[in-house]
Amino acid sequence: MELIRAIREGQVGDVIAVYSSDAGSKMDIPKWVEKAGHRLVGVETRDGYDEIVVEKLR
Amino acid sequence: MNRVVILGGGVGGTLVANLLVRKLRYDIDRHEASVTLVDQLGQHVYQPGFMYIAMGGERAEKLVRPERSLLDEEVQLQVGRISLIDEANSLVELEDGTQIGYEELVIATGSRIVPEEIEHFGEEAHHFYTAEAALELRHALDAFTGGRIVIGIAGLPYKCPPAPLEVAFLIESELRERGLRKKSEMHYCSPIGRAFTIESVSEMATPILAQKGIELHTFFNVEAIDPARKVVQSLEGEELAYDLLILVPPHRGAKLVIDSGLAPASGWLPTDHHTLQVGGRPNVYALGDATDLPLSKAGSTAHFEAPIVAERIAATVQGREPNGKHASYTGKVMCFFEVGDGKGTLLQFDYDHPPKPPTPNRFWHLGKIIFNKTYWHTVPRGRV
Repeated sequence: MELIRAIREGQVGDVIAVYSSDAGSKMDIPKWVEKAGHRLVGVETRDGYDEIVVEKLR
Repeated sequence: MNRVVILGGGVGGTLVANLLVRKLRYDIDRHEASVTLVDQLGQHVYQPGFMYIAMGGERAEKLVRPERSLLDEEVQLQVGRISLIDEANSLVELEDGTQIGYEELVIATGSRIVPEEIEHFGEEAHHFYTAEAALELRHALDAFTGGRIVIGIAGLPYKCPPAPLEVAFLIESELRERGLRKKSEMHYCSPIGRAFTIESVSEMATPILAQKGIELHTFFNVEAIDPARKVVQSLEGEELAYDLLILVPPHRGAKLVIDSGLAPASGWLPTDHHTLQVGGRPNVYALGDATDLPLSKAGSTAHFEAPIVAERIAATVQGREPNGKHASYTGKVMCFFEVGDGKGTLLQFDYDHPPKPPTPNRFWHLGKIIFNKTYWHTVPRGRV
């Protein structure tokens, strides 16, 4: 949800990193990114949270 | 003198005020503490009733009572619009120039809707987040003779997360009763990848949507409305045609807390999950819709947060540690969920335990109706 807000308010080309402790995020966010036409830069599992990086493409 | 000032006379503010005077009775009698509640209109509005103006024959005038009538007589009520929280001088200033100093501050200023953030929202979309809008939706439903109904969400977070699903279920039931169901299509747009944020609730609601023939569109974040073509467009690049459009408007926190530098542009106050203190400040608390907590924006949330705020402030005033089950907030929320056809269920959860909603039945629907009717005598006074 925070990602959607950041994408909405960002510029094309912005790279946004989401830090999430919700296990569902690393499943849900890539699905949304694909549907919304942006680029998934990467998903990294850190200590107790996931880092999901997205580039706004349109 | 310990002056406790509470901003906002909704569920959270009213309940904190009433619980605090009970805990501080001795201190107030000795003039060592005071509790002041500031409300812009001096009216307490039962917002969960709005949906029933649209869906259940509720009347707006029954949803409002004077704030004074709900407050313990020891609570001082100040009616007026707040223009500034002046942290440097520990005071709040009202638009008429009145200044109220505090030692402890409770921010219960709720959320506000900002439909104007979506162009054409006002002319094209209906909602049920004010009494007036809910009545207009009722009139639109009365005039509806068949066609495409699109129900969607135009911004996260928003008040009462189950409400748009409930409205979809209730409208579907109504259309069947009126013999219009076969002449109508219903579409429900969820901003995320499933019908509802909480997975267990989504698992309960998705088959009900399917059974009722309401088409679910996931990842549909409403971004724009094209009134000429009567289509609603999503951030994800899809569009849906409508004859009747019902959208949850975007929400923000109170402008006051943004202007006073306590919250970012979204207006949601950075709030500790357990102590409910704002941004690490020891003497400023937030509850209800005003916070940025990962919980439903609902009266129920404020209802279960209020005892923690009251206990923590009373402990500070009395120079003791907070104790008992209200020393720390666990994220408890409990709310009813209508599924139509006179049935409902109950969602009860906290930070660590997702809800396990019982199979929808008549009991929980009646529970919601009775709760709505008895609210005035129970919640604000701290009786439940």
